[in-house]
Amino acid sequence: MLPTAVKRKALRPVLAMVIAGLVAGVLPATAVAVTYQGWFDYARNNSNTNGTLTWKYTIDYQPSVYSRSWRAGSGSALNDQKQITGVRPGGWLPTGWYSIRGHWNDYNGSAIYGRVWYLSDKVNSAGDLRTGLFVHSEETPSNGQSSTYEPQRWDGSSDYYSNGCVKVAYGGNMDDVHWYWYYKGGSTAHGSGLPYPLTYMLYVH
Amino acid sequence: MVRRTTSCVVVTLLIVSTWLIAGCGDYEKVTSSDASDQGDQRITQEATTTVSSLDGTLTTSGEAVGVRSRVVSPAEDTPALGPGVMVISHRLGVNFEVPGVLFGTKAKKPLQLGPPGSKMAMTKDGLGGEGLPVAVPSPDGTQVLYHFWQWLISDDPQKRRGEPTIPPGSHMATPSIRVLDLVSGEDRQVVSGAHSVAWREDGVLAYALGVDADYRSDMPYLSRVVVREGLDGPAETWTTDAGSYLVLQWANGSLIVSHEFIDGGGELLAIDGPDQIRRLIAPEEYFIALSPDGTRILVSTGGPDSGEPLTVREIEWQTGREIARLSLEGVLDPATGEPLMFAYGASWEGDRVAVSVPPADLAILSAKDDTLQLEEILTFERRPGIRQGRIVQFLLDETGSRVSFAMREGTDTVELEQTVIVTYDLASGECRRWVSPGGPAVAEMVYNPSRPR
Repeated sequence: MLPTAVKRKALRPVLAMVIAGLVAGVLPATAVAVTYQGWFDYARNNSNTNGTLTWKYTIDYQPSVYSRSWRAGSGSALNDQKQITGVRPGGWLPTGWYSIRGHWNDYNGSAIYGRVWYLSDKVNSAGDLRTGLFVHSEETPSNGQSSTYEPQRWDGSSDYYSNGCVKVAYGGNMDDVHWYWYYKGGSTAHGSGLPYPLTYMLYVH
Repeated sequence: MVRRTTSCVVVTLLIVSTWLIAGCGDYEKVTSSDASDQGDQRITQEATTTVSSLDGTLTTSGEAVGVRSRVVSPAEDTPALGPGVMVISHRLGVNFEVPGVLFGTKAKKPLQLGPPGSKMAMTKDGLGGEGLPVAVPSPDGTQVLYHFWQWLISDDPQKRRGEPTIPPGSHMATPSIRVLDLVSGEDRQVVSGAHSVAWREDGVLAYALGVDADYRSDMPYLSRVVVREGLDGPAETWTTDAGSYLVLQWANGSLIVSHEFIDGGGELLAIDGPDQIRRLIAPEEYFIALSPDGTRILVSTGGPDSGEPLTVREIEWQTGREIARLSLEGVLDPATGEPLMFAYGASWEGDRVAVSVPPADLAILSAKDDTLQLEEILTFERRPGIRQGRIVQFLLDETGSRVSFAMREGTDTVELEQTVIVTYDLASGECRRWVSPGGPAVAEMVYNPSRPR
């Protein structure tokens, strides 16, 4: 089930074409299928709370790259240190390419929930293995907000901190990220079965 | 009139349709930001004067909420590690596929670790992480338990798009634990398919034994916590259920173990025996140190990610009784004037505790007479060209008067360049820096965090 905001956005191009057709006095005879190829780009910007997540995509294998960006955060230290649960927070994501191992709209984990993208593990600059990495926000498994449980509620800038995951603000930004993933060259598949893992889907720098 | 109305409708429809099409974002580069995040505030307070310390080292000192704080100028390089300090050093630039070398006073000369002729292997725990000892000396100091990861596939974490990727589930490495006898030089395997180790004062070991011996690509390394009576004694499983465990240290007869869940959540556990498992701290807390007698712990809460004041608490961990509490709210890094963000990782000897407190380097605390007091905040000035430096492991000597630590130094790109070992005398201000010979390296400290000892 897609969130209402996503549905609304999905209808926009259709509505635009209908109106444009009416104005021109003709209706579109056929829908032209285009192929989108997309990937995430995360710029750490030397900050845990002011990084930039970008969705980049091409159309019909042409060289032009289109993009849409949002503020995002990663890590709780200005380095790529590994998290040790209960002992040490994780730093930002190590640089390089990541695969996306799965995508869920209703993830119900122990620390993250709702719309999530599960990233591949990566060895950091000190030879330590970074694991448990996701792109996510703070929302309930049904994409709402909890009044009682902080990990399921976006409170503001402090929520950009993470243990290495890339975090996006709840609301319009997460809706946007999900919409672009869904309609502009990500995948419509959910879970971790085929076509996952999708290789080279996030570049961190 | 009708024609004019029709024209207005057409024009309006044109404007609306143009707006809608542009709103799709397909054909132009668009950038948005989070308007709700405006209004961030940063509280800064400048450090003040410049003075000379006892040994002539130039330092900057100032008052931050009544606390003595110092910026220590770059240390003099020294060819020898401080007394009692041992490190394992991995050369950089070889993708951690050459075993490390052990340096330190208890090793009379640098010792190459691992079986002779080892290739594609690293002598650290890839599932561990900085902040933990890279290896653990025996209680009598004559042996060292260390990790040995035999890589089965070579992978480049910085590979370019389009290059072949390693399929999930591929056998990547076989972790093992080995022991080096510092007297005889004998180096042998203790257990294969295991990682993270704690060594108790009576010689009892604990480690995480893999369900599958190998670490496999993009799969959790599931393990069970195993306790063993000495290097060659019988073993007993302490966690029936497999999980992603990391054995940290002994606290008397109990084990402190980190348990990580697949989505990055987890829990810190105290394990008293087979399946006698309990949570040691609350999810929002960080365990930062164990007292010399093993009965008390320091934990921290708060910081910028929680919105709560940064606070350190001393707790009698078996009962949960709070002994003392110290707020670090308003305490500033003397170098940048920024507030302390976190308190994690510490060394506790006698009544003194050295705690890592980014963005400053160290907070020196007194834990005397059931109170917690902040003695001093220290930040070590970076050398020219070094933009980022962070303390990853540190160790107070047994008198609590000298602290040695591994500091990772990064350049403008903030990527790891090398690690140096710094020894700082808290009384005299003498500060020395050891650089691993032979070029840039990651040097990590060998110490035994189990208590008592």
